[in-house]
Amino acid sequence: MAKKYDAIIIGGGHNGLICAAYLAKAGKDVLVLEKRHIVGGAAVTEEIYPGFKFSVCSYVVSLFRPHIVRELNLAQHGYDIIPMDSSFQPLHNDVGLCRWGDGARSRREIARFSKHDSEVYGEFGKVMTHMARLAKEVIDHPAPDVASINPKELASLLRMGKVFKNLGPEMLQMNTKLLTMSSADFLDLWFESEVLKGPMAVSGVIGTFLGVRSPGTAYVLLHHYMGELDGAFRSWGFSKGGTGGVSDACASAARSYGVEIRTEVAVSHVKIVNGKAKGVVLANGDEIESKIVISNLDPNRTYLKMIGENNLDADITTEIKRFKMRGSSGKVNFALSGLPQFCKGREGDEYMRGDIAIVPNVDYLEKAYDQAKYGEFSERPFINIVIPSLTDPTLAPPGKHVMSCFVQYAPFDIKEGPEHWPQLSEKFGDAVQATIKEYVPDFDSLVLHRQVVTPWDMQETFGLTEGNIFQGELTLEQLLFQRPIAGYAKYKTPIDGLWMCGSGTHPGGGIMGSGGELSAKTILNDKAI
Amino acid sequence: MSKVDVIVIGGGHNGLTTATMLAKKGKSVVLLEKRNILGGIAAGEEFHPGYSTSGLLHDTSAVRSNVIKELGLEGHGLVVKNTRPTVSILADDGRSIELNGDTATAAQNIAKISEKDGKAYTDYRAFLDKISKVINDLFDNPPPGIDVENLTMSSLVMLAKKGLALKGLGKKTMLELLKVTPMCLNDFLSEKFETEFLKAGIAGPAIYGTYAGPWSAYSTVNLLIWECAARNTIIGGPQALVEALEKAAKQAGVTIRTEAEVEKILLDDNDDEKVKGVRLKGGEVIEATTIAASCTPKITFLELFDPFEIDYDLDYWIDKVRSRGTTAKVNIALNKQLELNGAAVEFARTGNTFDEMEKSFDPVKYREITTAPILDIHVPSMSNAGLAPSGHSVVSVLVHHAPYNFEAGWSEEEKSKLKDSVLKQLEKYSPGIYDAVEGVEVLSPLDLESRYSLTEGHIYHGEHFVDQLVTRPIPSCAQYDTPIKGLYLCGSGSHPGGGITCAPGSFAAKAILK
Repeated sequence: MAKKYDAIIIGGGHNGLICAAYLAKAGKDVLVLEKRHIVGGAAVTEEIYPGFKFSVCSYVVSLFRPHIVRELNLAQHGYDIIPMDSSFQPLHNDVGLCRWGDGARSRREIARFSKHDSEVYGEFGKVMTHMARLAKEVIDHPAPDVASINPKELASLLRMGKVFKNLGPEMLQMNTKLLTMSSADFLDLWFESEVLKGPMAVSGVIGTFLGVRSPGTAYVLLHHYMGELDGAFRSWGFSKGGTGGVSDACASAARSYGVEIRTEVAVSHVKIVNGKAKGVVLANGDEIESKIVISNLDPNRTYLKMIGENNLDADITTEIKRFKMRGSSGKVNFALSGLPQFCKGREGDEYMRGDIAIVPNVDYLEKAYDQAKYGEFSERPFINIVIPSLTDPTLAPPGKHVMSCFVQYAPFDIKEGPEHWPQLSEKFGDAVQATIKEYVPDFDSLVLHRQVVTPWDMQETFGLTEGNIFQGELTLEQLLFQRPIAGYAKYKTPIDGLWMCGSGTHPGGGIMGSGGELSAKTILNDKAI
Repeated sequence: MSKVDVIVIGGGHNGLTTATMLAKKGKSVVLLEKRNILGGIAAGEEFHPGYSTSGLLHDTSAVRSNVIKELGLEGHGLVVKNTRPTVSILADDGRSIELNGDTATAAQNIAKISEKDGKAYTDYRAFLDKISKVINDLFDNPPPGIDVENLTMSSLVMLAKKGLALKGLGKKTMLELLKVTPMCLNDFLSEKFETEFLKAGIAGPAIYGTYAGPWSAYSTVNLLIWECAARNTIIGGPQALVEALEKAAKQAGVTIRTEAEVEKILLDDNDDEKVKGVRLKGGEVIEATTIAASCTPKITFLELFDPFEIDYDLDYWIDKVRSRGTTAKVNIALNKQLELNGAAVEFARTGNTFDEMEKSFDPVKYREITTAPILDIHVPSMSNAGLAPSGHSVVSVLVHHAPYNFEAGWSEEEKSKLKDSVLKQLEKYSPGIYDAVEGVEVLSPLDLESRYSLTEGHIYHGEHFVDQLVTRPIPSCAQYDTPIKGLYLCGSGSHPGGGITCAPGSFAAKAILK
């Protein structure tokens, strides 16, 4: 008789691997099944063009929880982050604006555009960091269930309420504003320079189907201040060897605890007997048994494909269909024969070692969004560019570079219909290349290879429904106890023995590892296995 | 120099409400109005010889029943029907739906276009009925005071109880309410209805006075609030309300002075955080230990005090209140009875599709104006024939979205362009309207600012958005009193906000009496 595992994890993204590692560390017998030939999900490094290694989808690391690194000994397994020290914004006919890890240096640059802004910049960072610490409280614990009358849940709500006690009225007001305002309006409270506000506002909309003037985007700005590597606040970084490096470290740690990982094994659905998960059925018809099953897939796939509507109450199906997945971004990766020059007036390449944000002002960004609202990709999109080969030469042949461009907006539901994305893919790539050319006139001559990843590709290749990079939009009604649906926010599903661990659960997307960690801890606490 | 108990600044519906409530409790009250007429945005005015409007705003459906009762307004001639007014939702293709105040009738009318939507409308109203108590509690009570400086276990318990009140809704309704409030109108209504122009028409009131389109997150909050608060019809519109309020004020003994513009609020000689009275334009000083300001919070604190006279924090946060006007007004005198999509109606809304509504908002963000505005139409002459010559009509149109900070500047030429785009829109529903036009008055957001003292032309004294509701206008002034002793706010800039409700005025009076 075939072996019966304690837990089978469907999907080998970083959350699935982390969940597996925690369970195995606790002595459980765990199997991870990954459909693709490599593990990592959206955090993968692939050699798309000979000699060039691309972080194909996810490309920077910031929110990864430091205690996970410690608890799973990830550093020993190759987890290595190269800090990013700058954020550069090229401008036409100007040396642009570069913000550095060094505050004084940033303020000097900002002062060129507005003296007032350079003066309040430090204060702004202080206030945001203060509030980010509160948010940390939220992301490091499972979401309290608001609808419950269980005293334990009420107590955890009260504990959250107490956090506000330490805020003081001014910060409470600021917090309300942060939660509800648009990032553009929120920044208007502080700054006057459009040049500065553009790149600052953009962190409020990354991965969402919202514009910088959409209410509710300000709090996402916090994420920028929550970036936490090795416990140091406000730092972002590249993973050595591309973001796949993070996944590889997680996989290696998982294996060291005894996790079995199988790639190129596609799961058809969860085997459900009498309302209880008993294992999985593979695409080839084989069955593997386990005590519990954990899905690293997004809520849409988990509920509608792995469970199936016939195993769900109509109410649950309705709620899960309401969960919004609209992807809004694409990736364009370039293999380059040399280093592009984004700025004539700056010496060296120091300013290009962090990220380069093409977002000259707030209106530019909002106009890019306006197009997306009506089902078009932005003709002049926001582009976040990184050239990780500058700091990690292992990614490209000597003298050559990989350049990774995160592009917004590219709505999944394009007006021609999402299935038409393959025909629009190169046109989309052209728009991105043309936008870059406005700043780097000889850019075309540097391009050896271009890889366009549309929201459609993210769905078809990486299993992200509608190309949503966070496995579901990060809007208030889809966070906390409502992620993915009220009543099932604690990694449970309506099927006994079936759990979730991906970004579609609290606290959401990004390479954080929290979903994997918190689900594993919840499963162990509940003595589910 | 004269001396009274209370000075009320501004003679709009809220100022009148505060003044009358205080006078009825025996206070000596003087009400100071800058213009030569009372009523503020609720005042009817002649805009073309022989043609008058019934107020800048149209909607009186949310006037609080308890204020009407407390002031005895029905005894002063006010006629109130306890149903919502019927509104016609117009489509560009000639169809329209009469959204009757009575749900069953409205659902039947909708079902003629879409059976599914007829049923969905009944469900929608049932959901609103369920949450209506929670929302109306907000309207009928001053905002919950949360003393954050001394947050104690007992105040946390009070907060928890508020939460439990939500639980009184039943788990399913509560979860649904929590789910939908942060949503945008497009997502919220598209889940329910299939007919585009119906969705757009229902959404209309939620985007008036906001800096938002139907795609903006949280826009559903405004819809739910308005839908639950709107319960009455006042015959004769805003002007009728003003007339009754004025009579009640006079009977209660309020001294009403028009053309009395307050130039400055005076602080006590010995205590610069306490009021002493006001100085009028022309130099007259009136003393009082209590001042209730119904003008906008920005005028109150930033114009009626000298620079640096008030606390920096107060100055700073008031300055940050968002009140970007996006509304213009076009009043049209017609030499015939107006028909819209073939029917004579008193209230109508356009929108057609969410995309078109959103596109009408888009240019505002870039300080430009749409050429296809969204219209909120009121034909006051339908219920008050005296406003126009016999057989003629007055068409009052609130135009969304027209930016206050218009890049091109609000010249006569731009206003004329706005008039043309409004008439062009109306022509879709009322072919041949051009020929019947006797006269048109266009009020840009800039005109609204100068005529009605609306800062940045904002019709609600500050945008209705989550962070500017409940703790309105700012937390330290949210309970109607302010950090300046004796100074109270009683206008639309306070909870529960703008529109014609009389609620801020009545809560302020209660706060003063306390």
